[in-house]
Amino acid sequence: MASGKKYYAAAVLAVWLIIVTFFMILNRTLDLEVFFVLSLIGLLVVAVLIDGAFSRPRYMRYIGYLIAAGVALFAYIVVEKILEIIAA
Amino acid sequence: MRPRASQTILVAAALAALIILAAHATTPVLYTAENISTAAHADPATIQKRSPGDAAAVVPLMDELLGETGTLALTIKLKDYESAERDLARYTELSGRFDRLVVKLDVSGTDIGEFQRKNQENLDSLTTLLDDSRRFDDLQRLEVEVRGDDDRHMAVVYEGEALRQKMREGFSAYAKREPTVTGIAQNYDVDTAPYQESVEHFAEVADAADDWREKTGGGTPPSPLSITLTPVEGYYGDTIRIAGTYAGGLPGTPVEVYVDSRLTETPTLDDEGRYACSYRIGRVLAGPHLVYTTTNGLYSEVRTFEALSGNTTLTLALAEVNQTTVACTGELRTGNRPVTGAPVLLRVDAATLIGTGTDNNGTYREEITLPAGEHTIRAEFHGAGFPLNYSESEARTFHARGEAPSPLPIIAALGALLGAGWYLRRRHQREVPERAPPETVREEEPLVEEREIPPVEVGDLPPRDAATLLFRTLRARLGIPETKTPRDCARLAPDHARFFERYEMIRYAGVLPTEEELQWMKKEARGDEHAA
Repeated sequence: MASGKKYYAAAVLAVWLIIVTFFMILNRTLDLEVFFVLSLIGLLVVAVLIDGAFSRPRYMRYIGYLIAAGVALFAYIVVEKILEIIAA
Repeated sequence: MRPRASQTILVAAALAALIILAAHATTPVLYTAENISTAAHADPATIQKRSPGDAAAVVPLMDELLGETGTLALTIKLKDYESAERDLARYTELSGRFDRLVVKLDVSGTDIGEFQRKNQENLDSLTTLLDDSRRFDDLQRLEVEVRGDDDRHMAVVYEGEALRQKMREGFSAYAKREPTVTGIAQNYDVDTAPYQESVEHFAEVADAADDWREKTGGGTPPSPLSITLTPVEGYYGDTIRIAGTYAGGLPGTPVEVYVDSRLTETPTLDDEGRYACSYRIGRVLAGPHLVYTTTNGLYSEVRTFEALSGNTTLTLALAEVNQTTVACTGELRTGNRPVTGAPVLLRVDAATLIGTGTDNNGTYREEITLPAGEHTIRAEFHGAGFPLNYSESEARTFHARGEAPSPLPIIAALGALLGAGWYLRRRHQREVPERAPPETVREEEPLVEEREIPPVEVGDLPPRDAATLLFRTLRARLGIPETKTPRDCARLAPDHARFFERYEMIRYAGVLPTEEELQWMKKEARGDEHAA
């Protein structure tokens, strides 16, 4: 069941990314920043949902590292946007 | 497929995707309908939004232009010069707007471009007609006043004759354009009646000059100031030689040479009463141009030369100045001649227009600052005011790298990364406490305080469920939290480690407990002294 959960999570994340891409195309805009932020939100939700109460599989530790890197990149984007607004 | 192979493929695919995405990190907007890089990506829906009404404004503007020619010619004919000035100003303004629209919509090469060029010529003709009509009126009054003074009368008559010829030539050029302009206008269902009326009004003004000539004595004797043009036609850059004689003129007398009513040269008479000068065909419209000379109140006859339309070639080269600026250079030539002082438009991404101009060598240079990304640049020459045809360069592509990212976001991101790492490490340490020596655990045994529990009855439960019930009972008796697994329980209560390890085998390894084992576990769970 544990390994099954892992694959379900990957599938759900993939579906979420496809939905995001679909709506971005529908909106006639392909922006990597927006795509990245929405992907990170999806990853965070999936990570919370698959995280068990009694055990911590190894893949959860790897997802943790991925989330840390994502948060850093997100912080970079946010600071850059703030600087853009200040400069404008 | 072997797991290792599939994992390798997955990692390779992930790395490839990350590398491709990283290449676009500086320009994260991959596509927007408003900011297209190639025609293949054009979205007609947004193009309409970008220039709302631009295309739709062309035909009504053509209609207004033709309507204005009728009004202007009529006011000139009626000698209402005040209204004519206002009409001319309006016509000039409309023509300017139409010129900009043609450039903006990039339709110079179409029949609308041809209409625009003919309209410019019409504007030129009507402007000249207004000036000439006004001067002609003055001459008519002057002619009445100077009757009796033969010298002055002849001077007025000569000038009148020059003006008459000029107006006649102007009319023939204006009338010659009518079929072309009317044909194009009819293609777009534009009402051509006012324009055709303007031709009639123009003709009446020219006829009025002919009538005056008849009234002032019919055939005017040939002017003593002669004029000849050689050749009578030429392309941009060609030289027209204007020469003539004035038999009665004193050597050194200046002769003013007018081309299209503008003073262009002032040669002097030589000892034999001859004068000569050259006129280089430059920024003049294609078509006929009028030339006459005057000295001491004497006017020569009016001669015409034709400026022929020449083809042009325009080049464009891009050179990077810095990360965001590109230098656009090129040359505009007609045949082997450079075109000087000509306006050149740089069309960036088929939308933005940037104006520049050629120098005395026919070359131009313009530095453009561009946002990061791929840009297509094309140079265009629309022939405005020159006897030259439209030309454009090949489209060139420039990749602007954009400014280097500011270090501040990088520092902030590094800070966030370190913070996230610190948080995860701390959380990990809190969740997995270091394994303490057994003695220490035994000393810190507050978790395994034995509690009084009600008697447990297994009854008819299946062996494995019975084992689970006994495990929970013992865990509760020892006061171990329910979140702890059998292995945790064995670590926390080493005295009952054997029970928990056995239960772990039953629970997770699928071992079926025997009746004896269950009895032993029951005693252990109850805390019977004989259990061990």
